[in-house]
Amino acid sequence: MKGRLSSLRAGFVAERRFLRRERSVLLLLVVVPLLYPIIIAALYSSEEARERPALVVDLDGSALSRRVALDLDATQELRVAGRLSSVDDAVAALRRDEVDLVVVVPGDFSRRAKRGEPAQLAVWSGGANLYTWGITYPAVHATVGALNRELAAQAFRARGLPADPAAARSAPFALAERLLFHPSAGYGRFVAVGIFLVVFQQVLVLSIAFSSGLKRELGLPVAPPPFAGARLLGEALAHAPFWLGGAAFGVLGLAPALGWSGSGAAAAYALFLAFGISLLPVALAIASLARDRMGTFQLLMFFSVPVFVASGFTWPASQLPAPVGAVMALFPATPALRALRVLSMKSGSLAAVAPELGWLAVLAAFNTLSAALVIRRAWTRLPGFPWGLRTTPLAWPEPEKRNLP
Amino acid sequence: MGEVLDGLRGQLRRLGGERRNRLMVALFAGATLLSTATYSHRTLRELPVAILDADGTSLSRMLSQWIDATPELAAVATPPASLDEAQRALVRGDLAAVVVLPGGLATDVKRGRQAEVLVVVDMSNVLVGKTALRSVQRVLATAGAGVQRAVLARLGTPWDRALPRAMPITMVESLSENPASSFAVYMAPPLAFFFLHLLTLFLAGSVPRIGRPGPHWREVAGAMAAILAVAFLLGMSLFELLLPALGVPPASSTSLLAATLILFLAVDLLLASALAAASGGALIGFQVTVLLGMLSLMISGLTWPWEAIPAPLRALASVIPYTPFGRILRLALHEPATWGTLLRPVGWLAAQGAAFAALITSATVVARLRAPARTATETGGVA
Repeated sequence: MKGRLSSLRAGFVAERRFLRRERSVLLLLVVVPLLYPIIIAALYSSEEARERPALVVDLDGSALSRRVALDLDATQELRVAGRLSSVDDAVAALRRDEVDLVVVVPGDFSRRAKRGEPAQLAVWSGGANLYTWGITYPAVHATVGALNRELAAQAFRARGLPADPAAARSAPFALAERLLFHPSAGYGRFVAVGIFLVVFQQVLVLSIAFSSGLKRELGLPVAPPPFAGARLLGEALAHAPFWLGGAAFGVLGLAPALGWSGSGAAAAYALFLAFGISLLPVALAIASLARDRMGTFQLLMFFSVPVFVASGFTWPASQLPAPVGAVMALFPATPALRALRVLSMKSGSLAAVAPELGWLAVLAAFNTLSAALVIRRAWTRLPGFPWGLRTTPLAWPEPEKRNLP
Repeated sequence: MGEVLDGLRGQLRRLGGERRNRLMVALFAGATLLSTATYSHRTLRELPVAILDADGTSLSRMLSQWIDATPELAAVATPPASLDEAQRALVRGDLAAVVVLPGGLATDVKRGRQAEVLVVVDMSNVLVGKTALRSVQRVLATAGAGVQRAVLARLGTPWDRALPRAMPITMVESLSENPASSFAVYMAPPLAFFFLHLLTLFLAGSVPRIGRPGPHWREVAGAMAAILAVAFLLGMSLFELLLPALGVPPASSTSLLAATLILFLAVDLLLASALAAASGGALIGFQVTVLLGMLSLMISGLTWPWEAIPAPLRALASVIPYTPFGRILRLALHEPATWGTLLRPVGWLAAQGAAFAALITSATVVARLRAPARTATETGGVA
């Protein structure tokens, strides 16, 4: 035990000194956790795309068709970018991706409505971007619904009903909507905190692996025995203030400032800590295998997008194909992201995410055991290196051999 | 020419022989499959919804059945006993929505009063919340039109004229690129080619002496050609195998897709070379490449609309080859495209390629000019 503690302390002291001398590791630890959340915050600060461009092809030229165009333009979601007389021109603009939507008012639109015949509006869109479709289509639907109610009320009045009963008859059902947890349905709050967690994951895994890779390039030993794991853990602890500071910047700073964390900012930060503990053994194992700095980027960056996309954070877990769900269950980011959805939107209490915390604890135990095996194996395989991994000489100038600890 | 071939052969050997490169290709395949398979159900289906029917009439039962019959929603067999219990189920994520059909619903409708239906939606997941809400809205609109039609008929409007009077304007929607509103169409192509973009940039980073001044440029060019060939084969397999399997078969000709893919990959390699040259072959050049690569999906305009992206990020996205290639994907995947249709994004890619080539040339010239000066300094200015 004493040996492990002294290895841990030695690792911590040596890594702190190493960080002071090696600016490239420090740069990674400071720049990435600050830069990425700022970019995400800037990207999604508008929360929701508004005023999407639409074209109206008015082949009717009646008061009713002009009313349709005006009502569409009056919605928050749409901006009538032009009124054309040619369907072909409008479709060409749609194909060029210049507008999201084309509404075609046919030539007999008004006449048919007056005669009591169905008057059709054609709504054309590419539909390949479901996000913009999800904004523009409901806006057209709501506009048409309001017009229909008005016209139906006129029809009831024409049949002798007084104004108030006619209005009630024109909309037999009123839908009272209660949008729980995220009434604005803004996209920024929906995705941003999850991306912060993935950035936290990448910084945690990358920084320690990058540092180990650099040490190997300099000819320094990485996690020497007898207590290789303790030594690596000590080195990781020297990085921990940067990881925690980066997480605090995103979760306790940016997210509350932009209204993205609800009442659960503190609990979300605690979740980041739990996630970090569960992920740390994986990071140490990878660090023990890291050959050089470039390899850490080349291999680890492939993980960030799949863990976000397939975790159940945006696409619901119940809709994931079973094999995808089974693979993703092994990544600590999966329970962490699902718990983050609850903490950032539904409940600020960690009790609400007890199952996910338990899942993280199981993964932490499994990862610790696996990491212990990997770290031991990595050392025994040196200097031939992990699993026979051999590479060409580095593509950039070799760092100078310095008097490093 | 011999040096180019040497470079090509050497890089092909490294791609096949080095564990790291093979691992990168395997990770590309794994990440692509995992991410795109996420959307293999294509749309949200059978979201659990609780219907609390306090009315118990034939009208309320009909509404319950219609809600359950929508493809997007599935009524749970045992709804929560109270609103509190329903709220807890919503917090746990066991329910996507709760629909409350209040007592007196049928009476209100019969008497011509507006009947209020309450829908409580879990909007913590915007996709789930909006889908559930839209489905309930559609059911109530359909049921409402039926009621209006019956009332108008009772008031003397001929039956076949009553529906158009109740709902005079109808909408016919046409989604030319994505008729089934499939999320696979929306997400799978951008994700698959994003990973190919990353792989290309990362493989370029492993080319020996990339960006380093000296007489190695022909070898580097040969190595880049090898990466281009491998990435091209992988890209074509995405077009021809993966996307059709996900229900997104490309609508444009294979030759057009192949030509645009080669252009995209070549410009990607020029970007990596330009950044390496600008940094003199130092690691920082590769780090910047990684940074740009990782951001490229988010700021490409494929998922988040281009106009909603802040101007500085749009400017950054403009120099990343993935952005114009994303436009090409949008235009060429879902409808048959021609070179005329793709003129703008192809021109954009070509302009990027020219700019990167100019940057590489300038960096090389500057490095050559500096080299004698450095040598002179190092020798103490003896010359």
